[in-house]
Order: sequence, then C-alpha cells, then structure tokens
Amino acid sequence: MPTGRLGMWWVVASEVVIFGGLIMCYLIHRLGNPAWGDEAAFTIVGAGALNTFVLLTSSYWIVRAHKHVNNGELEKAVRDMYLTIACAGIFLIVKSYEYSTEITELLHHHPHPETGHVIGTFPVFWAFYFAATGLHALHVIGGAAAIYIVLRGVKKGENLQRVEYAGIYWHFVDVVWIFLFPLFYIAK
Amino acid sequence: MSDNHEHSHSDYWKIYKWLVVLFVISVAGPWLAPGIKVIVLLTAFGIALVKALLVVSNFMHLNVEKKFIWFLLLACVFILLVFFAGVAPDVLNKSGNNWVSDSAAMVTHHVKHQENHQADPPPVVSSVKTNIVVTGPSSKGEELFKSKACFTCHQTDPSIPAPAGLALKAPKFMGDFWGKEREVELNSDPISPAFMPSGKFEKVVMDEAYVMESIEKPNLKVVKGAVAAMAPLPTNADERKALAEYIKSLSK
Repeated sequence: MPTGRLGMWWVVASEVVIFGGLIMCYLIHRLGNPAWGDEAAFTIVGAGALNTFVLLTSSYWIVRAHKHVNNGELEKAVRDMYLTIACAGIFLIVKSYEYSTEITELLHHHPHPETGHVIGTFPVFWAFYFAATGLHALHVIGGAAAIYIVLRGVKKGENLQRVEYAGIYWHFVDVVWIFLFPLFYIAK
Repeated sequence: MSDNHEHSHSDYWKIYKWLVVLFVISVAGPWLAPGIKVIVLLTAFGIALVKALLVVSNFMHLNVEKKFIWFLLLACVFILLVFFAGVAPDVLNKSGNNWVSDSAAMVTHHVKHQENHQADPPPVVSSVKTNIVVTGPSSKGEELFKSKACFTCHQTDPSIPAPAGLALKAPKFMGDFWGKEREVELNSDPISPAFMPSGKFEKVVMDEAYVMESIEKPNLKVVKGAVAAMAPLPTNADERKALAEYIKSLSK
C-alpha cells in the first residue's frame, strides 16, 4: 500500500473519533432531552436535503476524476475535480443561507408557526448544531482547497496519486454529512 | 488503487444511482409518516448507515482495501461505542441518591406543558418539593402559580433559587415590588406573539392590569434586561386575576 494512502486512512480514522465524539455527545444529550425535537423543527429540511444531494453528487465526481487519472485522461479528471469544487461551493452557499436564517430567528425568539415553541428555549441544541455543522463546513472548505491544489498538479501531470487521497478525504466529508443530516434535520 | 480490481464508470454510476434512490427514501419516509417513530428512525438512520457503507466500500474502495484499514476504522468506531456506553448511563440519569437534576425536570415539564395546556402538576424538584410540603397551596392563585410552573423562572422566595429564571433574567417576585414602577421595552410589532425589540422603553406600574396583560401577552412589554422567553400562558380572565392577586400577596 502506498504511504500516502495509508496516511490518509490514518487521517480518516482520527477524524472518525473527532466527529464521532461530537455526535456521541449530541446523541447522549438528545436522548435525555426529547424536547430538543422542538428546536430541530427550526432547521430547514429542504436546504439540508439539497446539501445531502450536492455532496453525494460531488462524491461521484471525485471518484470519476480518480478513474480518469487511472485511464490517463487528465483533462477529464481536471474537469471532474472542478465540478467537485463547484459542489463544495453550492454546499457552502446553502449552508450560509441556513445559518443566517437560523441566527436571525434565534435573535428574535421566533415561535414555530405550528408548535408555537419559541426558538432557543434549549440553547444547547443550537450549540451542538453550530459546532457539528460548523466543523463539517470547515472540512468542506479544507477539502475543496486540497482538491484545488491537487488539481493544479494534475494539470502539469504531477503527483497523480494524490487524486485518490484527496478523494478518500472528500468521501469521508460526505459520509459525515450523511449522518449529520438525519441527526439535526430529520429527527424531531 | 489495488492492482487486482478495476471499477468501470458504469459501476460508479450504478452506485451513485442507488445512493440517490436511498437519499430520496430517507427524506420521503419521515415526510410521509411524520408521527411514526419506527419509520422515521429506520428511513433516516438505517438508510444513512447503508449509504455510508456504499460510499465507504465503493467510492473509498474499502471493499478491496487491506484488512488492516478495516481494523483501524472499526477500532475507532469501537472506542466511540465504549465512550457512549460509559458516559450515557450517568448523563441520562435524572436523579440519584442525593440529587435531582433541576434542568432536566424543567425540560420534561416544558414538554408536558406544551402537549397539555391544562393544569398539570409541576415536576418534583428537590428544592421546590420542600416548598410545596411546608406551605401547601392556600389560594387559587398560588395553586396556578405552581401548576403553570411560573416558579421555574420567577423566584418568589430568597432561599429557593429559580435557575432557569436566573439564566433568562426573569423578574423576581420578591421584596416590595407591587405598585412600583419598572422599565419595559415595547414590542415593535404589538400583535406578534414573539418579541421584536423596538428599542423604545416605557415605565409601567406593577399592578393588576399589567400583570394580567403580561400573562396573556408576555412579549408586549418586556422588563428591561430580561430575555423575552415566556410563552403566552393559556388562562382565562378569572385565572389571570387569581394569579395577579397571589403575586400581589408576595410583595412585602
């Protein structure tokens, strides 16, 4: 096994513990506070679902880029990597929209139109929400930057093996979101 | 990539199609059957697990990776499970030999309060329990003050703290407060049940009219410095009058 890939797997393993620890803490508190479901009703399911789809699609692009590199089709690989970065951009735009909406509602103590529950009554839910999705968004930014750096090498035909390593990291970012989505958006 | 396998583009496309189908089910399931917990949990979390496995094995090529990597990842997941098993029983516990979690009791009561707007006995919080046992409800207003859980935020006795009220800076009903002026911030939207800060302040007298109005529309005039966190209390005019009488009796 190439050292680079082994190294990336170690990174992923440590990330499993970072995100996993956060998710476990959230799960423990969520199970103890069923009322947090009223807060979760304020997260925007449509936006979260769109972002899930965007990240799934980006995962497909980056694995295709890896395939193209293996076949020696570097131009196609570069194109697919640009598409991956574009997906990361869409993800971050949607996330910013969500954050601004939620922060505005939190500042104004809006009640929910159906339940009448006033947002922010249980602020710890929002602490977990912003910590988990914020940390994940930082990973999206970092991943997109890493893919861009790898892409510049591919254009010159250098360090082609890095496409796979960046891909493994990017898929991990996708997998984390696969779990964050039901945890913060679907479960009410 | 290992040497002994080759994925074709159509393989990846097939996996991607499966992922999208599963994603649609995971959103549609809870949407179509919102109240049914089993379906929500199965479609949301069961499918999340399947999706994650599909991505990990096919896109990250763990299906053809050295077994060592599996061991590495599963060891990390195992550590997380150990963490959960070790910590959850204590954190989820709401009371023990010599302690009761006040915040947990408040949260539980809040849910009951929302599900059932009728009078509903307050949670038995260690500190509050003594209060009920010693004094016992003597008037309708006092009874309402307890059954509507007003005491969780509005402190009435210097020796019995109201932790939630402390955090929200809720007005305390202690000392000589009745008939006194207090500064309030007006709601910029008088018909909204939620508080929209207007930046306009006014002096009001703490009297029956103000108390009754504030029970019905707590966010119309919010005491300066307090967090506008009180929800309109479902009460009728008689109950509001009784509450105002009781609050008046607290002023010394």
